[in-house]
Amino acid sequence: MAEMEFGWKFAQCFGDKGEVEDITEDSVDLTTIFPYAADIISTVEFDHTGDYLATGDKGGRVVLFERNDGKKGCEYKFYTEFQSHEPEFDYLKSLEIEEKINKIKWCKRQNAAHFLLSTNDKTIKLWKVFEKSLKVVAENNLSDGLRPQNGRIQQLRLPKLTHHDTIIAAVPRKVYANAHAYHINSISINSDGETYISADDLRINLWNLNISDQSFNIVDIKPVNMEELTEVITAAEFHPSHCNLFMYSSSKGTIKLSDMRTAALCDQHSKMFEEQEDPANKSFFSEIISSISDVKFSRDGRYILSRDYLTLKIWDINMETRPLKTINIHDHLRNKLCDLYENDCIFDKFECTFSGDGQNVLTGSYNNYFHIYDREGLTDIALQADKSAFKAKRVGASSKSKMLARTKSNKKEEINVDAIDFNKKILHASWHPNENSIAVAATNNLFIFTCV
Amino acid sequence: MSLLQKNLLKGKIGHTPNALIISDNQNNENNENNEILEEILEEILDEEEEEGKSGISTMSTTTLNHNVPLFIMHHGAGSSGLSFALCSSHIKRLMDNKCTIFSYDCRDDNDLSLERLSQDLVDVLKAAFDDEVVKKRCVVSHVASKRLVPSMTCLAVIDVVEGSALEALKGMLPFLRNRSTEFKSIEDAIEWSINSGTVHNPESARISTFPLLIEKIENKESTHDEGVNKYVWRTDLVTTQKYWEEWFTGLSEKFLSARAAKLLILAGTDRLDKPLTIAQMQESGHMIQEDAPEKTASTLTDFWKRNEKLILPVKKL
Repeated sequence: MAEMEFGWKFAQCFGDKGEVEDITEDSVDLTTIFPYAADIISTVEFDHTGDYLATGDKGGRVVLFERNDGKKGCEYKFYTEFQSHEPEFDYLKSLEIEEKINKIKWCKRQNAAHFLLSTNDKTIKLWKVFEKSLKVVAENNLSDGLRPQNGRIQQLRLPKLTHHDTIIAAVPRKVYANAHAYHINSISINSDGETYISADDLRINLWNLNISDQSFNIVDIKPVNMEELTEVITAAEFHPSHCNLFMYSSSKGTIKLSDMRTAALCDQHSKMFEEQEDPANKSFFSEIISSISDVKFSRDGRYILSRDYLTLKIWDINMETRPLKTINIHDHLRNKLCDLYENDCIFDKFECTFSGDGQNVLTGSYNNYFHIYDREGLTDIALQADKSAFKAKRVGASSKSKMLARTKSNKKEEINVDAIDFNKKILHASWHPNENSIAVAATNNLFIFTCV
Repeated sequence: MSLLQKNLLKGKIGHTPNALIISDNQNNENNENNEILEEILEEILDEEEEEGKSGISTMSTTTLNHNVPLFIMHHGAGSSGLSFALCSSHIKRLMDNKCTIFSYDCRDDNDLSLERLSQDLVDVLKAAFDDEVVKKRCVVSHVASKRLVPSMTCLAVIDVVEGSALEALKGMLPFLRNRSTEFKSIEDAIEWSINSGTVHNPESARISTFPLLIEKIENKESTHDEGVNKYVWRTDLVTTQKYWEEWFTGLSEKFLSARAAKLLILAGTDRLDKPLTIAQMQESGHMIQEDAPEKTASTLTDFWKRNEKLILPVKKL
């Protein structure tokens, strides 16, 4: 019996093998459960075709999955993995640099090999992933290096290389290092396929993919006196089709759109998207919850999606004064901000994403819930990426009622604020570019959901 | 979130509001709330656990009960929300548990202007209770501030009078400089409090001193033994000097013009500069709520009971 929520069903889970045996879900193919390392997934990204899926984890590893073409329906299998970043130590500042992969972005496929950028807090690397044919020497004359006792010239043969095996190799092609004094939070590849930007808390740099020893600084919001610091950059992205436009979001809740043609240093924005705060709603924590954690363009470049702690906002790129729609994700947390400050959860950075066609938006919440809304914000599909939840759902007669269409007013599980596990949060997710399938990271498990 | 961003955001709201709310719960026995208070105090005294965040963060048991008065305690510079601890337990006893007492630690950094502190009070109340309309309140303030609480009915000021305070400011800097700036342990700090006459009541000093201190750890390189910790004052009062005048100027006028019943509690009549209702304390130093908690409590509860049926606006005294 498949779990269905408005047509969405759970397809696969990559994670620790232990619990999965208990689930005899029809749509779960147990043979595809790959014993994933115990590390927390820190980023998820489909490539431009949707045939490949990349995940980065806290241990600096990148794991790639490939679409299984043979079977119909949405299914992925393990492709390859490699250690992208190692922990480092900054001797000058006496600080450890984490190897956690913050972001992965795929380059557009130009040949048989795959290229992707992966970054940790300080260094960006360009990886080439390709199939390598292993050849071995066959038809040796001497197999043990000894001279033959009676060699006859007609018996001499030319050794040949024959194909032995195909492996998938990953090599770092470029390492873009030492360009960021602060922690890198985003990378974005330009539609021109030649350049990309990397953003840290205070600066954004423009790189050429082929040149790793220099970059241009195009945004710098560092004040002369660090004591006067009032905001930081939280995310940045290139426009999907206009190669001169990019946007970046800040901790103050603003989104700035900049045009690289206007000046070398894009500190002056072309457009600024900011919603004036209603003074009636102002509270002790207003500033913290208005900090934007993620910002994305829709694929057609007409809309911008932004996520702050409690809401999703959809903006029309032509209207700066206010968003088209503000969606409350988990408004029941508004009264719990004090507790969430105490347990640090108020600083969680949730990502957001558009669907490939731009008609839906996706973002995560707590208790392993994530939400899919339509662009008008009228429908809300809440799904849970939790294996124990699937198990519980199938047991008992009440499971069926839980699987029926859930309207906004019916989310009883979430409203019980005290029962929410704030350690289970969906921060990272990616939407397939061409179909309604999503990959969701729940701590150290990767879930794939698809819409039939 | 990067550390830089986190610190920036935390810095904007300043020191966490740590509030001690002993809320009444009609289902409880009379004694239970006092027991809760005892437990809280025991927690506080157990210094091993605490590291820097002091006190308890909003221990709100239920949402605010509108039918009982809300006492809002605002401590003064160099003091902490827990200075009201003993006094609060007495108030609870005298009011038969039919009240809510709210006390919090003010911010310890950057902006200590009157406006900021006043706004903090409003914000903290909003955050804690999420409710603007509270019908009856009795506010106990060690430092009076602008009236931003619209539904307040009573205002009490403890041992602060504008004229005397402004005069005393001149002597403040040398006094502060003579204060010990570091202590080997919290017990040392408590002992200092009592010896210097800041607080006379040892029981109260034991409760209210430790939130004022912050542990400063020695350089890791220099020593291997862990015993070398020292405690320093969380707030460097010398840096607050620029705000002193602002705090006290116009205090008498604001107090008198406030739209509420007023009570001024003084440690000695020589500090008086205007005719007001006086409650004379004995054996008390400047921290009246700590040194004479019972008497403070009874004065406040009487004050409240006298003005309970007050409907704003209040007739000026």
